[in-house]
Amino acid sequence: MLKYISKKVLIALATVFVLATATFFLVKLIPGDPFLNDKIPVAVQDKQRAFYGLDKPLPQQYLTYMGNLLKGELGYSIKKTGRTVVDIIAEAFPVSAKLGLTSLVFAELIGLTFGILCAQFRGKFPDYFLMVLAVLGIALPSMVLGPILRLILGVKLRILPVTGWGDWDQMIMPAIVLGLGTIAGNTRSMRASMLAITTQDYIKTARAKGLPPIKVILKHQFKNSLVPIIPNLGVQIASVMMGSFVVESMFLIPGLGRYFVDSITNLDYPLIMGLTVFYGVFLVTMNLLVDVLYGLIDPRIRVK
Amino acid sequence: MRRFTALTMAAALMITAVPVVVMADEAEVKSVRIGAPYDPVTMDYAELNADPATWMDIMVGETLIRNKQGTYIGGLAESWEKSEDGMTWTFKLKEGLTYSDGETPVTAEDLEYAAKRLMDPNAGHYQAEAGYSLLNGEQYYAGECEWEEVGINVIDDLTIEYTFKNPAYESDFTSTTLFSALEEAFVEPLGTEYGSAPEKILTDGPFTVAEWYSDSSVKLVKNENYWDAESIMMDEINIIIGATGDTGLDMMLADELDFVPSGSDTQNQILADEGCVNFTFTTSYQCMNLNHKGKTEESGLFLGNTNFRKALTYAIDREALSASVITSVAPANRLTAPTEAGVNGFFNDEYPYEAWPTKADPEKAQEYLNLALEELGKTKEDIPVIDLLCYESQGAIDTLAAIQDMLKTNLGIESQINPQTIQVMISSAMSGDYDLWYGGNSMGVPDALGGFLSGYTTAMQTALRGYSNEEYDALYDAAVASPTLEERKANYFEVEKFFCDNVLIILLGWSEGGYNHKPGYSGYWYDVDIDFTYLDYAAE
Repeated sequence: MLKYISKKVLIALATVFVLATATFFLVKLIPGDPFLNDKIPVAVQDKQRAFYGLDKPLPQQYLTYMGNLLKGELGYSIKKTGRTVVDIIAEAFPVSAKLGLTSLVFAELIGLTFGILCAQFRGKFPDYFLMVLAVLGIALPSMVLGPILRLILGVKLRILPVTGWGDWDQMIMPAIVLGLGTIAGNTRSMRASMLAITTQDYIKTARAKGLPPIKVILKHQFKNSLVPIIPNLGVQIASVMMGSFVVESMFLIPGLGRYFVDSITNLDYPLIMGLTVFYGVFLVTMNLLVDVLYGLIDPRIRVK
Repeated sequence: MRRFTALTMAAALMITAVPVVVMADEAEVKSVRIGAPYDPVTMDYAELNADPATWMDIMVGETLIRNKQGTYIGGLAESWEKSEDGMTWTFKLKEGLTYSDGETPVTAEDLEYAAKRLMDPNAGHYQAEAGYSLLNGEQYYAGECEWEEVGINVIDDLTIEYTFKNPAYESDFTSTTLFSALEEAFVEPLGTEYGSAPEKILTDGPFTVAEWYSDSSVKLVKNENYWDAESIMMDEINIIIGATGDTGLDMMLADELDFVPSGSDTQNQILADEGCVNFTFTTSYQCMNLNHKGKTEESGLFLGNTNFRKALTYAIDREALSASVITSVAPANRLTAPTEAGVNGFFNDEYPYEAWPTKADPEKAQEYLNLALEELGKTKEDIPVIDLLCYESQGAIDTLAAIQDMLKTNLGIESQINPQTIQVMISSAMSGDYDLWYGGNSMGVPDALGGFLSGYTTAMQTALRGYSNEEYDALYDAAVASPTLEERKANYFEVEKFFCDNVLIILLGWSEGGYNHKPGYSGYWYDVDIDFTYLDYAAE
């Protein structure tokens, strides 16, 4: 097991190194210059470039960047004057993570339940109904669903706040909007997974032994159906915890999502690189944990 | 069942009791919630570059002279004297002024420190150019002279003297960038992080920054140590970042917001139906910037010709644009915006002028085009496809599509729209890689017209505009050297006429911004930007 984990960690480290290097050089290929401004004298622009070390040769910039990265320093944001990239991430990530995890828990519970129900009522009304809902969940973009919910629950019925962050009730609408796509995906995956093992011998045996259907589902079918679902979990956790530009903007949530878009349009090099590396490290870590978890659940994976 | 009923009632009581307590507290605190499009980013006066920082700064900081709803009063200054030529100003500060901590005194040395920090050649502060107005300011920034040679002289703790390159006026001293005080002992240890968080700000204005959650909200609270605290009516001002557009509208309807930036006509109407009040003010010039040298030598030949530029400006129907694609822009018939201050009132009232019609005049446009072709010895077929550079937003593309159609219909000139991301657009513009560039020019600063006009002088030329004219330079220099405000405005008018006659840009109109607010609010004020300093509320 230790060998398996060590191998995975080495691969993860190599992935992060490649990602950091690729990000550095790709960012430099983006056309434009963050300091160009027709209202600022050229002399001032030059000094701003020098402050960020952008007046140095590219190899020197790269070495400085990698050196700082090893120390956990991601530099100052160009557009968020006076704030370091680490500060920005430290402030915004917990918000996105809290919202993301809430929505994920909600989405997993609903999605898996729906998937089980679909499989049990295969070809009947509940199956069709829930699958239509699942398709709608995938098809309905958050930028459509969000304002509709906001209008109905916030403005007309006034049972939930329209926007904001900090109170539990401010999380409900964004969590629903953020989680809907995951619910839909999980419903479909769980349904397929449950159906795939319905005809397995051990399920038939359990039924033949006279176990109540609910016990067969929860004790035998459910656990084994999770095996193909788990590999997606790492990516799902990473993507929902990193925030959503649309949902966070719509509900005025001070999370990380908007920085992914704004940093690129503003050509905020340190922030682009910092966020990409942070996302990369997080994603790699989540995948590593899932791989290890997967190996524990199914020893055949380790052998392979 | 009885237990369940009792629990339900208890829960209901708790839920209803919470708002009662909050309301009781709120009744004692006069507060307002204002929507703003962006995070202020920084409250360091040397770095201000984003809305709402551009209007928050005068609420948080104090300047030598304050524009109190149209009247210039002493801010930090108790009194001031100026030399006959208007170049040297001596200010006597109020005695007993302190920063918001109520202890640290504000001194003349603090004003000098703030200016020196702003112009630190090694810092590259965004607003460093503001110091160029001082005698030798530009030379100091370029490392060509010592600080002692710059036109700032601290005479004693409460007296400071400024010497300028050109005559100055009261309005110049209302800017926090160059004429605010900073406490060196507080600022220096923070370095570049000064102004980035509530605990990293020490100011002396009407409000202090109590809370600031980046990209979320800012809470300003009344500074009880402010010298004019009795004029400040609101205890708290809560600025909600991102509360604009549909989100802002929903928040207003759900009573989560009191002021929202004006939105579309439909959004404004919905709020008007709810009893909200709307007000607007001019915020920027909307124009087609002209590259007088052209993107290519071929297009430069035509764009460098005055009659060709006149043909373009007469071919554009500004009224039609305002009625369809740029609905928040008032069509322009001259350069100067209607809100530009004159000597005693508005500039445009004091100097009436119509440079071009707001509706297209195809006949006249064709006339000018023929004149241009004759002067250049070219035919219509020789005119290259004109490059129309813009930001990649749908609004900008729609506007240019309409202009493209007008140029084709009224002049038979072909053009192509070139939408780019913001930074690529700026890069293209700065390197002269365009023929016409659709964009705006903010007016939220004192002497916005002067700033705009200065951009076309030879001294300010970059590849951006490719324009240089000695006559224009002389007119502009005479305007900024005017010893009295009356003379400066009269001279600005001469510059404006030259500017319009020679079509240095194709001005489309003056962009209007504004707010919708709940009834009962008063005391806000605006000319080129909003000022909530003296905001008040009384239930109607």
